[in-house]
Amino acid sequence: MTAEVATEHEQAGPNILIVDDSAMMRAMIKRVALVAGPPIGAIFEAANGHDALAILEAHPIQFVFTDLNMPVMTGTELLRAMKARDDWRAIVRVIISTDGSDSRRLEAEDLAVALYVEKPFRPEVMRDVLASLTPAP
Amino acid sequence: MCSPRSPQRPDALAALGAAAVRVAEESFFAFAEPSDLARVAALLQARPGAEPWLLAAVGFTGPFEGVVQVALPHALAGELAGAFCGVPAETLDDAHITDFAGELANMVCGSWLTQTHRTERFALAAPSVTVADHAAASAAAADPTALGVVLNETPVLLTLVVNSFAAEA
Repeated sequence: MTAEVATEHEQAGPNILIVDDSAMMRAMIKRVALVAGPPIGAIFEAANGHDALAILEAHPIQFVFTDLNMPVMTGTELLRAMKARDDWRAIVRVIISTDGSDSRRLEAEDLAVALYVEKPFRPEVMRDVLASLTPAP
Repeated sequence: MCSPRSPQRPDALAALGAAAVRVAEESFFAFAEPSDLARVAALLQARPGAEPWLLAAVGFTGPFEGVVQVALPHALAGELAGAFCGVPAETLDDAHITDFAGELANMVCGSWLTQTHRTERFALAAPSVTVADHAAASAAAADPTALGVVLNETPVLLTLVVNSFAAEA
């Protein structure tokens, strides 16, 4: 199921892409980003890596928050595809996954991932992640 | 066949219960505690007999294989889903609640494996969620290998099936 939902805001800020096969998890991350984070531009959603790539091709995205374990195309496959594109080098990549194993974290380092967030997480963790990755105005 | 890395059943169940409590407290701001099955059975008896339940299961493969199942009343799933997304529970439809139950099982299973086997690598299957009745929940509570968790004063049942548990010392 494709889930491309852009939420536009008055405030200027980075555009975010949330990639997770759970619509409820996407809704939770989106809510936290809007309520607790710094100003956000638009929020896009995708249910797998394949749909995420289509959104990346069509829209300027500054942050990608991705799950790892998804049908059709996993988060690892998405991050590999992103790494192969020079024009996407500046996009900040964050993994949000229940799998926090050492080998996954090591793999993430090789995929230019800025941060690795383990589920479950408290909402303030996401606020802190956005604050740490967003340049001060 | 028993893998040399297979956990012992009591240790695995205790760690799974701790993972469920961690998920409930961190993601849903819920009060949760592991509970003996007698208390869970008593709480079950006090609930409406016609109440629907959700059985959310996640399979995993790796150094050992198995399935984690979380059984909870549909009403509790709706309540937790609302807390998770910050919306009133009554605004959520069945698709939202089913999706949430699957994500709950995914988080419990993934958190348990990460906390107990951080150096190992597991793959989790997509969650499957089925609707069950009160009798199915009661049957699960009668399974001595199940683990009870009381979440916001509501019974929740965890079941762990591993291809082969290690022999207990």
